Amino acid sequence: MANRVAIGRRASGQTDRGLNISGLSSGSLTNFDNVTTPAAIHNLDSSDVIGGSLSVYKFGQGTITKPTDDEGRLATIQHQWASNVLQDSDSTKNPLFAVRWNLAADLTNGVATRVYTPNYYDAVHEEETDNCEDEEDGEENCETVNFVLQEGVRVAIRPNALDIFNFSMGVLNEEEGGLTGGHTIYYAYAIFHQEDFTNGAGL
Amino acid sequence: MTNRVQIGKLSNYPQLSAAEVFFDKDRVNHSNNTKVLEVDIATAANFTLTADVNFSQNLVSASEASRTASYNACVADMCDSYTINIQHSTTSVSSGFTTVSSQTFNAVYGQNAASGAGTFTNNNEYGVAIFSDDNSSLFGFFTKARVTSHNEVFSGHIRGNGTYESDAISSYTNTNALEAHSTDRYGRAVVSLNLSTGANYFRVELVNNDSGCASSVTSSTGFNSVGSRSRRISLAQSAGLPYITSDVQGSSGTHHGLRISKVNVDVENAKPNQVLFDSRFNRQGVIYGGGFQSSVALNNTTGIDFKGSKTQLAYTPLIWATEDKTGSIEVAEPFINAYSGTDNNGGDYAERMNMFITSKTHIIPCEMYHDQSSYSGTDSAVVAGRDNTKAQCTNLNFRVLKIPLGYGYMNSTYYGDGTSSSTNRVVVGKYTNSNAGYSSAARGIFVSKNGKNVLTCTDDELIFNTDQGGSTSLSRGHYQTMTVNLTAVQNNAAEPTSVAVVTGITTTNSPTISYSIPYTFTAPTGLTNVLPTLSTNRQSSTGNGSTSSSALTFSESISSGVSTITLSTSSTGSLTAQLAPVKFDSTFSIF
Repeated sequence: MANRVAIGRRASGQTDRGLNISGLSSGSLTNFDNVTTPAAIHNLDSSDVIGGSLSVYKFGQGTITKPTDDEGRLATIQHQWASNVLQDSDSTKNPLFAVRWNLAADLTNGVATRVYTPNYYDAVHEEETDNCEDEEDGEENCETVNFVLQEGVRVAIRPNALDIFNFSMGVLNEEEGGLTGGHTIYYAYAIFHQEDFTNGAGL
Repeated sequence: MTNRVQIGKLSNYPQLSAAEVFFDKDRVNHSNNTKVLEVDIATAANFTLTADVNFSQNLVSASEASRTASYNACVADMCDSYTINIQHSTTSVSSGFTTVSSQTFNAVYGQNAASGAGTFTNNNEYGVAIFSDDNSSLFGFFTKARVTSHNEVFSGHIRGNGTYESDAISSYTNTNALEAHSTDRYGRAVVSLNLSTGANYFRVELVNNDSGCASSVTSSTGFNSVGSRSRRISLAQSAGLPYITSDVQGSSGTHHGLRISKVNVDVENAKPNQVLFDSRFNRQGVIYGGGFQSSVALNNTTGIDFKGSKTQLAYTPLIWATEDKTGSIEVAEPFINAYSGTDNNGGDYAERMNMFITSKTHIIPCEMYHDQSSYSGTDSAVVAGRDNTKAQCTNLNFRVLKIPLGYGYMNSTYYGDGTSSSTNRVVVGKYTNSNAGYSSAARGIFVSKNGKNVLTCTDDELIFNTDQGGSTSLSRGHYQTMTVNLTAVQNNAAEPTSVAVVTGITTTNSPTISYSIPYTFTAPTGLTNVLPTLSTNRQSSTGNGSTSSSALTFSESISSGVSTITLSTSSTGSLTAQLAPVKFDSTFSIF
């Protein structure tokens, strides 16, 4: 049986101290490496090659009703990560975060059965009206109306706040301004203690 | 030598040394006072709360019809009395607020001072300085007003001189209208409070007391009494030691468990972002499963089963995933490569090609699309598979973490503490617990979440786990990222960091980052555990619907246990990448 836990010096000759647990040997589902083996893959590694881990700082959920125009509707979460974790309220660093969303049809007994990563979509449809004129070349020239379908969620992370936008307005008649359809979105978020490395995209 | 591991009684995280917290600046409309500062007070004490309010006021009499005769032409009243209300609650972020301070500020107006001659340089404009009457430059409202020429200003009125019709012509719109703008208005309200222990909530309300100012501009289309404002709330302890706690578990009280800090960071003085593990955090990056798929079929709508033979999770988990496709896709006719060429849409745009659906058992590559002429009003544009965008999911690398992330799961049932105030939390060595899937004894380190007995808890209540092997193991190690400043860590006792920000990636400049690989594994599966996200990442040009891979290209070489990643691009312009290398932990396609 392999030795799997080392508290303190991992092995003789190692200079760093910490806590290390070895994992499965490469390519095996049943054999574990000895924690003192330099090349062992670790379940947990606290040596100097490790830069960070993942733990939840704040979490929450909510709903955003459907927007009334193509500007979307905003929910802001004041997570205060820079103030509380970095203890630097004016820091420009952002926290690592994750947001998932779903629609009402994805809920069963009030909980989501499937969730989506953030994404925004729009599609444009041009439709001819009945106002047509015959041009000199004999072709008919009709007026057109644009219809825009917009759906999805956008996110923006800041040092002390997280913005979640619902853009699911349905279809907009650009001529008359009326909206058809649209969705309330249900969101869930987690803010981590660690700094963002996704350039604001989130996990 | 730095102390890095605590087992047993854990020390508290440091309190906020500055004894001051700030509410994030915002800019909202006049009626919105729902932005709330939330702080936790460890010990009752006296505090000073300061509210800084900035706002602007714009007056526009919109048309000639707004003018009457002679000197009454185009009179605009600048609102000259405002009140800042500071409100406090100990109930919640949205209820129980009472006003604890109400401070009113009045402005007085200079007589046609034209003092802005050096400030306003446009023709036909004069500046009028308006000052507060409280004789305190710190706490008053400061106003600058700008009107057309020959203006007269007194007691808050700003008027064009009706002698000359042209006097009322705005230099901006060149229509018969008067504009008066006050910008950079600023007020500060201060209140001293004795705050009790626990959560305290604050908000600041700006009230315009001068109801007459709006009606003085007739036909006031476009009138906006107070357009917008920004607020900054700061809370500082009046005297003595700081007693404001951070909103971080483990910041107060006595806890027993396990905590491990990064290299070169004293575990007793670490901040929460400087530890690799803390048993007081109930949700951490324990890996439930994962895998690597070189390619997922475009029409695959069922996705990849990450549950396998394991016990199913009780929630939709957070899944960290990378793939080749990043960035947006925008397609207009004639639909060469992506989206339907036979639908009624004249153009489609999706912000992210790399979209996924997560259930309790599967991860499904998906897309957003709908033929909007057939949109019923209740339809969804989220579609499983990627047969419309043709953004085929390739080199998919994912890890399923025991972190609930879905509506209905973000509550104390899934994130909260257990109820036992004193119980076993840590096992080092031999471990048996059939409730957690360890019917056969395993060896390692096992830690339960707060208030749960590690000897009887369920698997999901184990926040530190050790892989027991086999296809049914519910843990595959911990999500960790690699150090990208290893030389500084080893030579200069620097704190390890995983976040690499690489700028200036061009066709002629290919920067590199490096990290150490002490592990032996079967390359290349799982090797490219790097999450790229670009600040400049639009891939597709209008009209062709290309779904090519990221503009950023990674190439990796390994020498003497050091992996060097070269970042290059064939796209014009300069790219910026922010990324972190993620620790490799398996060679299996699905585990």
